[in-house]
Amino acid sequence: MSNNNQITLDRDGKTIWRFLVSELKPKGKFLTPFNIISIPIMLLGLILIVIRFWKGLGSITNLTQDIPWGLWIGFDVVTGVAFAGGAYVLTFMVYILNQRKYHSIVRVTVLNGFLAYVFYAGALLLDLGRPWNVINPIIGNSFGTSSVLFLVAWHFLLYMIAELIEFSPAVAEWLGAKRARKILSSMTIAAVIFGITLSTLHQSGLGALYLMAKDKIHPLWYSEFIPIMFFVSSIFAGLSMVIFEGSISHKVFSSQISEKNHHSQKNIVIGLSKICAGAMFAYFFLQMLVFIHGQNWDLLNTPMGYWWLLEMLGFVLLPMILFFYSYRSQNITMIKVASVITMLGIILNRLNVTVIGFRWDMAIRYVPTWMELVVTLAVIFTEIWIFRWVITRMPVLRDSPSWAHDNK
Amino acid sequence: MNNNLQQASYPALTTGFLYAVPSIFVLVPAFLLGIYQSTKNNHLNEENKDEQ
Repeated sequence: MSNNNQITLDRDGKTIWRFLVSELKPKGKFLTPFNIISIPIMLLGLILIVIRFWKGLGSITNLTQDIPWGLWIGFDVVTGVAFAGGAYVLTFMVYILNQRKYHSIVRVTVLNGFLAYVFYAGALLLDLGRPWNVINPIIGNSFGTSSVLFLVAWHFLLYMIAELIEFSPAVAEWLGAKRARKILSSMTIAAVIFGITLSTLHQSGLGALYLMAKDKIHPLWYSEFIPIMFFVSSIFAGLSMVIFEGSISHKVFSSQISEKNHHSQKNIVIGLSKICAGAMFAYFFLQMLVFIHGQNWDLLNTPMGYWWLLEMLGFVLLPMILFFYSYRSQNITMIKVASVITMLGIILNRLNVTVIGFRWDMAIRYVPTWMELVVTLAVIFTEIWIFRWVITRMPVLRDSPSWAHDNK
Repeated sequence: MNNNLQQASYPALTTGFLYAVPSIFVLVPAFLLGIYQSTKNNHLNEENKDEQ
């Protein structure tokens, strides 16, 4: 009898406990190149986080009163959340538009999005001078309803709950909880609609945070349309992450993926590249409109202007053409290359708004310390460890158990 | 040199965005639900045709 069946049949709870303990044990080889690199960085990151909470932000970061937001906000939160955008785009396509061909990758994308929010939004705690105040917008201790941060705080919390509900049928299948799975599956559509609405607002809300920094952000990156730019770019940022993560998952976890899903992967990637090309065209068009409307021609012939041109031409226009061309020629390798360039472009864009183009006119510029970089890497590696743990145990990439299909 | 001096108050810069939130919270779910119903019906119709 399989583990799942035992759990379903045994109601005294002992089997579930034993099952959970057995699942906590590591599976597969321990000394892999990834583990050898990630474990020391995670340990060092943990030590640095302890120092940060013990001695304060200034002990390990280059943040000052003039530059209070640095790499942890610019990369972990603002960029990480954009990469998590694949979850709301894909759930929209699968559950709302009923495009069933993407169904096989929806769970892994939702898991990826959920973990990204937990870890990257969780990294906000590292950046707060008084982290215990993070609960204030939730409990009503000075709500701050007229602040964009109030909206972002509530949306992060609610969206994590919505994504947990979307992913919860996989947990129920892992535990063999038939009744719970039925109830949780019936909540999926409501969670998806709620989640997409929240995503629309907080993806743009992250951009709206920077609306207040009009005199601090370089004019080539500042406009009243930052929220719309952040929202539109999160569509192709998220999908590029889905393509990139999917190509790695298909190699690393190939034993989990059925023959049918292996074959459908090519069609899925080609379909996603078409959407990426369309979203990037809309984004590029909007950027050009904003640029022409802003009449910033004289700024182009400056070092920051060249930097802006590099971002627009090298990391938006080029991958857009690559996505379009590879969609026409059905070239999977080129799609993967385009997705990597797009992801680099998103990192560059978010860092340009939050770090590089922020207080660009100051004599002394903010440069993150090596310790900030190590903590960022530690957060990313910890997320990948949890992601791997879930993938190897729950039916995320592999098919659901047969009882789940009968139980619908 | 930075000539992009801020003249508006801080709340004025985000008012437009924050005022759009309630309408998005009402319109987007209704829009999504409408699409969901129509695609679901199309899907069911196709399945029925296949069965016939």
